[in-house]
Amino acid sequence: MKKILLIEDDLRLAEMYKEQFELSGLRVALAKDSDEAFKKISPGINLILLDILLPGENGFEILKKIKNHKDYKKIPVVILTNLGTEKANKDTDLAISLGASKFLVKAYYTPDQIVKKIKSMVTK
Amino acid sequence: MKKTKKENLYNFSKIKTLIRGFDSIDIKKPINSILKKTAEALNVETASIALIESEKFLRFIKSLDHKPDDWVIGINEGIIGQAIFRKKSFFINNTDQSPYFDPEIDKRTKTITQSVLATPLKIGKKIIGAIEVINKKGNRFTKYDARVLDVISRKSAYIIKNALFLQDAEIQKAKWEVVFKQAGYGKALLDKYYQFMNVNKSFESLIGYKEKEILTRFIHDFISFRDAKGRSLETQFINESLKNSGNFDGEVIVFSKRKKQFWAQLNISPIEDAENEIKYIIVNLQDISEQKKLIEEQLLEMQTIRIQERMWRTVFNTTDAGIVLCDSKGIVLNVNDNFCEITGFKKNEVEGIHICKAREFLKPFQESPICPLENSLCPSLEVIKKHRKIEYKELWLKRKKGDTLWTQVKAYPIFSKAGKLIMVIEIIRNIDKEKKLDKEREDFITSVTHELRTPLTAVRGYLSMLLRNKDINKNKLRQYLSKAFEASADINNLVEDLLDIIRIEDNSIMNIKTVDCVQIAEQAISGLDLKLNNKNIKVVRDFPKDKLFVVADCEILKMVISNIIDNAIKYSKEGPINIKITEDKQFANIEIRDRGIGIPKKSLKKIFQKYYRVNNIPSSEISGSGLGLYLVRKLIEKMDGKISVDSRINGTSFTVNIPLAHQLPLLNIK
Repeated sequence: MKKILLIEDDLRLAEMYKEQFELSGLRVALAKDSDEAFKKISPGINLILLDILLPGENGFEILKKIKNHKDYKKIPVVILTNLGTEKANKDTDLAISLGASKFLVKAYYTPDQIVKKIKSMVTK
Repeated sequence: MKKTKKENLYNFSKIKTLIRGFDSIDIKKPINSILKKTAEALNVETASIALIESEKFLRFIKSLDHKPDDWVIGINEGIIGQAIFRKKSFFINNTDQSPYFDPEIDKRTKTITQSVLATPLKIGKKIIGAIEVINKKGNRFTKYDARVLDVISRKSAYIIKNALFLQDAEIQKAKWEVVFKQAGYGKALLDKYYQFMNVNKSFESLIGYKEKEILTRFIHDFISFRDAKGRSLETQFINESLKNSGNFDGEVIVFSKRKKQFWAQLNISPIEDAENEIKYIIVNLQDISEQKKLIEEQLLEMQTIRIQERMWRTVFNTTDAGIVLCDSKGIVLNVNDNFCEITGFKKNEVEGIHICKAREFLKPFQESPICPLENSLCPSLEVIKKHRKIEYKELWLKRKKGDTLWTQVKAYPIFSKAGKLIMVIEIIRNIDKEKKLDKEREDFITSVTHELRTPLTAVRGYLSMLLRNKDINKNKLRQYLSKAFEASADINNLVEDLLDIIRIEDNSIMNIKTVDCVQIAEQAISGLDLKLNNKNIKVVRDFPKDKLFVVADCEILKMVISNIIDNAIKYSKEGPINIKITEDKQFANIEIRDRGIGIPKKSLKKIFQKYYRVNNIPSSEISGSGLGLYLVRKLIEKMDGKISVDSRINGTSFTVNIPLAHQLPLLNIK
């Protein structure tokens, strides 16, 4: 079974996404910040969903760390945030340049739409 | 004898009559008449008059014989010379026996001279020449003849002198006429009573009167003069001036009854007689209105330039922009005070050095210096190269300290009339504040968007899950609905907070007066009783015994205090919350201290910013939009107060300073 790490500080959203992912047959590990994320991350994770505004280290800093880590750098990272837009801008450029695979804005999609997008990436 | 004498004198009186009417320029005519009458009176063959030419010579002016006119002899030569030498009449009746007679003269004049009588022509004691008569007919010269000639000579001397004077005057007059008529400026001749005797054409046109209208009339009936100070120049004043310095010369305003007033150079000089009495007055008048106008225009222009210079200086030194002037080679000529303030450099550090070293511009978000290595971004140097205006909307200016400022830079070329670049003016506007405000606004919008989207995402998410899941059980349904409902409540709170912000920024809600802050604090606490009881948190008060009056809006102050206490309740797991009210010279200090989780140091500075939530708590545990403390700060600042925060591991304390009421009367004292 494919496993996803969701790094999200808003518990309400985290639980919502987790439920939807699990309904579609994906396992989800939750982390509310950088510390928890690095406790739960493992090379066996198939994809990481990463929020940007997080307590402590922000999403970009976490992304940088993952992409610089020899064991985790191959794990695709999708930014899932409510910041800005998906059109090319400072944040999307930075995320892509740091190695993110996609930049998604939460508000644009329902949970099942998110799940569809992620599932297609994971099962490729 | 007596008869003869009378007769002689009678004849001479005819000469006087003749001379009196005489006004010819030719002196020879009156002298000829004198000689004829004299020869008749003394009954001689011929007579001559010679005048002293110089110390050594005599000049014969006229003879009845064949002596040539203007014949010059030695001053003591001949009988006539003897008369001058002896200063009295001298006669001989036999030329052959006289050593003073030169027979050569007879040969030259083709006459035979028997007897000669000569008498000096005297005016007072001064001898001007002599008169001689030759060959007394049928008789010898006697002392009587000498006395007659003496009388004639005295009268003649005066006539000759007058004639000489007239001759001289005629020459002078001729000269004067030339000057007078042809002068390019107004000339008038007045008598000593300032009555017009003569004026030239220029004078006529200057004052607007014809000569015939003003002749023999008093000058001040037609024109008057004022000096530059506006003093009227009366004849008395001019007379004194003439006496003191010989003439009057100055710039005056001329008022003519027929012409407008005009500026003129007025020169008045007298013509005096032998006794230094003023006879005539010459008035020279030159219109200098044009010159004056020109000078005034130049003065005005200079004044304008001076005013412009002062204006420019004022603008230069008081404008908010930094200004630097450099020459066509880029050497800094001048910088204004604001340049120094913006860059952090002192005037003497930059004036005289190359513009590139005087300030440094960076492309925003770029650390390496652009100037002078990359000249293309040194605005002044670009102007020097391209000879046109250069403008940069946003550049970082590296200050002396090393920090950077957002600036807007414009540089303009200044050309000479010949089109040569002579100077470059660079204007640096400090837009740091605006940029930071923009950034704050941008951050605010980003935050608001983010915080609105988050609960909205939850609402939409849960509702979409409900819609998609047709076979949902009751428990799940309830769980999804309550999550969506909670999230919608968050949206509502956020909207309320946003409205508060708009109202505060509108400044329309303040009702500032003197209020007791102790009482307000009590009211704020009692308003939160329920929340305090729910979390079982106690409030420990340290309040002054008496009332403490501050200047504030009662409701707003209550809201501020209760907002801080509410925060303290939210972030505290257990109590107590300490509230302490003290006063210093200016403020009442309300300190609210909790035993909560504290705030990380790096967040302390930001917590009063619009939309900042300390990121050390999972957000759904504590609801709130993050606008609370920003609102609190804004409200306190509107009441001229301050808020500060101090946080340690075992709690956070907020201190609110509100102006004391007793400050008011002090402020009002003038």
